[in-house]
Amino acid sequence: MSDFEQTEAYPVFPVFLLVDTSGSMDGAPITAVNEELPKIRDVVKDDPTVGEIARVGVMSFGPSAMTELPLSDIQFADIPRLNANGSSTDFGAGFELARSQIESEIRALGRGTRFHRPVIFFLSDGHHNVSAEWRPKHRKLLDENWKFRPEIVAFGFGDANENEIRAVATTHAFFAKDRDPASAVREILQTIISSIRVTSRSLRGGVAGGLEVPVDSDKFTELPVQTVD
Amino acid sequence: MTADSWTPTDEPTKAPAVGDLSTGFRCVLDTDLARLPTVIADGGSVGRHWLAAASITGLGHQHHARTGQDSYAFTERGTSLVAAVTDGLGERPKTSQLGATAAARMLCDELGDVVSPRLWWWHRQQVVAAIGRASERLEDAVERFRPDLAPRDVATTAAFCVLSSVGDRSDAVVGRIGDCGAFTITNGVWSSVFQRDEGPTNIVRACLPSPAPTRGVELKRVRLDGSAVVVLTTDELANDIFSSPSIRDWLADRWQQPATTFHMIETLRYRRQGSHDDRTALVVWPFVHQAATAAVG
Repeated sequence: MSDFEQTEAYPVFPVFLLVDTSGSMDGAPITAVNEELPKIRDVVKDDPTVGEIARVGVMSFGPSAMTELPLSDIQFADIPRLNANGSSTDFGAGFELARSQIESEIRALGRGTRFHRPVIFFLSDGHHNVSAEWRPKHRKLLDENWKFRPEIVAFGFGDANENEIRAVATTHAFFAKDRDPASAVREILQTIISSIRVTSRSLRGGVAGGLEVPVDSDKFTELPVQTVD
Repeated sequence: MTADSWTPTDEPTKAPAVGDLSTGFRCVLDTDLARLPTVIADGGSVGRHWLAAASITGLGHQHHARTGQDSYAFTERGTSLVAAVTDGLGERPKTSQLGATAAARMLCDELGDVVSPRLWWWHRQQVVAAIGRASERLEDAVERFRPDLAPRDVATTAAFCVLSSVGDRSDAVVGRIGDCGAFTITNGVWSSVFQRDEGPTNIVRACLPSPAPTRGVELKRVRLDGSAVVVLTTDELANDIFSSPSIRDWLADRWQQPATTFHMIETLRYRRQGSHDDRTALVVWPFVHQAATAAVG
């Protein structure tokens, strides 16, 4: 088969948010998420280098996982409102959904579409508390032989387990210093928006393909990332 | 004219605009003394060949006041034309153009001493060794002139070609380190010298300098039949060639005949959705020196 496409196929930078929506996020934290998410659209509008290339998807996880927004040109998408509920938090469900959604949604962009390495921004205020192990699904998500393998930037706050946040991340792991969950969520989402903006400008080269996460060290503690076995 | 209403004077262009294009790109000059000019271009004869090249800083870099990071070089050595394009890695936005600029020249210098396309299979290991020496020279230069930098700060990908200047037709030796592109156009039909890379576009498999510079080297001998033109490109332009029939058609049409410097610049002025990185193309029309000289008067 020819390497040359016969229809136009534009390059994309796929960005996914994987947001904890378990019961502990109910109230001010999930309200903060819903207030901050639309601001992603602003950065896409403000910066033409981002607008032509960045595509954003949103997934949530609690007792189970669901797609809140398929990978979209966020200039034209309806921003979802997330709801928090349920008593359990299943990281594995989130990673399993992420694996299937990343591949299916990038493939849905059309044959020949060139994509930059996908990035997942993982956000949790709690810890995995169901009996099923999450690590096998995490390992499968990061399978080096899978061409859609993402980088994961993990943010923890509130009652999140630092060791779990470290283990989830591939390149960057952070813990919000602000004890107020709503403030922490705002700071995390603002950092994610900055990362999308900065990374879209310099998508080239390096282990993580130019991924940059400009954090305010007054607001976040950077956690050393664990190496996946 | 009010402060917020003027736009700079520009030349009209016939270059295509493809896709859903954003407006609002700015043009802010990087003032770092290590910057490269926004445009570098050439067009003229080299021995019995005609060579034209242009390197243009990408819209993304211009919008964010960053220097371009592509480069190219060429030389004539003995009976061979040696040419290279290089693409500094964007993860070092202030320094990788230094590596790209130096590496293009070092590659041409080292390859010029070892390659004779007619003896290709006898010299394959020498080609690989020459690339290794270019990598070492690049590292040495960094250590000597910019000890504040690490080798990774000047990392670059590259593609190169060597053509004989004797006889009427010959093969070309074409190689690359990393994801630069190498193509031929024969009677308007594109052919890629190397297989298109799979997977994410922003993950670089190989670069110079490197502790194992020869590990990621790809080499091929290419038969130049009839009117074949050799095209070396950096990765953004290679992606556009692979992914866009409109851009392929535009480029093939523009490069039917040997091109002048300004023709090359105009050729790379197209707009394409998501294509914001630097663009560099180096094109060789083999054995056309006399005809091309007549054409440009």
